[in-house]
Amino acid sequence: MSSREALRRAAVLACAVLLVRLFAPWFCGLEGDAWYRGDPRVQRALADDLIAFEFRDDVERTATTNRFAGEWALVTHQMIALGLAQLCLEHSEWRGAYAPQVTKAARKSFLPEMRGFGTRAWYGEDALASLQGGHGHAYLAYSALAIGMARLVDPAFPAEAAASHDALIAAYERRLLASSTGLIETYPNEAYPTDVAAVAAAIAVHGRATGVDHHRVLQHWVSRVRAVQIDPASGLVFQRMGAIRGEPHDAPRGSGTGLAAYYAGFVDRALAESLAKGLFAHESTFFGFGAIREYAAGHRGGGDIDSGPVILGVSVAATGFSLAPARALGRRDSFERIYRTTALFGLPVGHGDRSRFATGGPIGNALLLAFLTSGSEVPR
Amino acid sequence: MTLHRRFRALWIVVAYLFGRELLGWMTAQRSLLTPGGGLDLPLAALTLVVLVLRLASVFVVPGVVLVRLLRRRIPPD
Repeated sequence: MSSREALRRAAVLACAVLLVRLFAPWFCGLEGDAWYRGDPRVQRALADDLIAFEFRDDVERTATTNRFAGEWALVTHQMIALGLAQLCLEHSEWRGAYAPQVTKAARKSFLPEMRGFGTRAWYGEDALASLQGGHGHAYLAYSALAIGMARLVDPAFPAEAAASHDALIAAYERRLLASSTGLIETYPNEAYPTDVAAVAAAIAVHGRATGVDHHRVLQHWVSRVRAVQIDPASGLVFQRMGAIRGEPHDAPRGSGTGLAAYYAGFVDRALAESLAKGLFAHESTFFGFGAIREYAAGHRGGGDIDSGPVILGVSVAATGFSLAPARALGRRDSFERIYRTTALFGLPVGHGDRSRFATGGPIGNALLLAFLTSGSEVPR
Repeated sequence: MTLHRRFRALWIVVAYLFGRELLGWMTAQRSLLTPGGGLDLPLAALTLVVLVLRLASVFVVPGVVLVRLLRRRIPPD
């Protein structure tokens, strides 16, 4: 091959690489800007598809014994409620249509069968039947946060459900104030800073919905997160810790930090920004696409129920979770890069006025609705 | 070169678009992963095929098409 021919081939290859470098992120990020700006067209399309899912779920719930229940179901209904409630806060004119749906999804996440996994983990002790006790039951904060958002946007929220919610929040407040580490247990001997962030978010939103002053417990939680739960070297929160002494039981990880940053946004913007700073320091980029590394430097591990698959060091969950703080805290470049990755593997499809991410399933789409519309819930 | 081979790269895009619509229709009826941890195998297989076609459509096809166009415009020595 002559040197001229080699040069010609190199030039053609360089042009092809340049084209792919420009085309791939442009094509996958077509709707990223619309999501970031809060374009009603994309928001409504996904929201309406999830409302349709809730209607199908209502029918199947009464018609079959194969109920959609358990940890995934709780999170699915919770995230649908959060996403729709955030839309109600962002577009007040949508409240009439969406607020009753927020209440419906939030109340489903509060059903006894949704928390059956937690009751079994605590050897038969139901979270709502043991409010005077000292066990954390932090997993139910996910539902409590959804109920709080429903109370915030739906004036017709039923009083008896509100009373149960008040009692749960009071129990969480008492348990959290009694903890010197700012941690309460999710399951016996297992505390997850992310779940406790959901507890704090639930308390904060309860305060906004009812006018009850929770300032003291929230300040206590914020100070304990900064002092105990964040790894100073990486800026990520430890995934799992001991509730009493606050010793790490797992590595500082991206998935836990991403979700904790979203929940912290309901409570304290400065803490959410601190967590986001650690999170986005772990962003890997390639060809205009972004993803979040799961483990802090010096730590290794595989994928699990929290992270989803970990591929080349980046995790599905950490990447998806990071969309929320990226949008809520104005990190536009990171949001666009990470949205491109989400769209590349999530496969957005539209049918009529509705759309969904084809590979997401109900839980993936519910999570993405909450994260892609995050922002209106964060105090300025 | 037969016509279908010449447009092989574009067939990938057509197959992807068709697969995406089929997947969109199927995911409206059922879910890839169930709360019990089960996997819908036909849906998982279709998802995998469509993802491979999407990756090829986004990262390979544009480059291949450009290389072919440039080769025609700049003939070798």
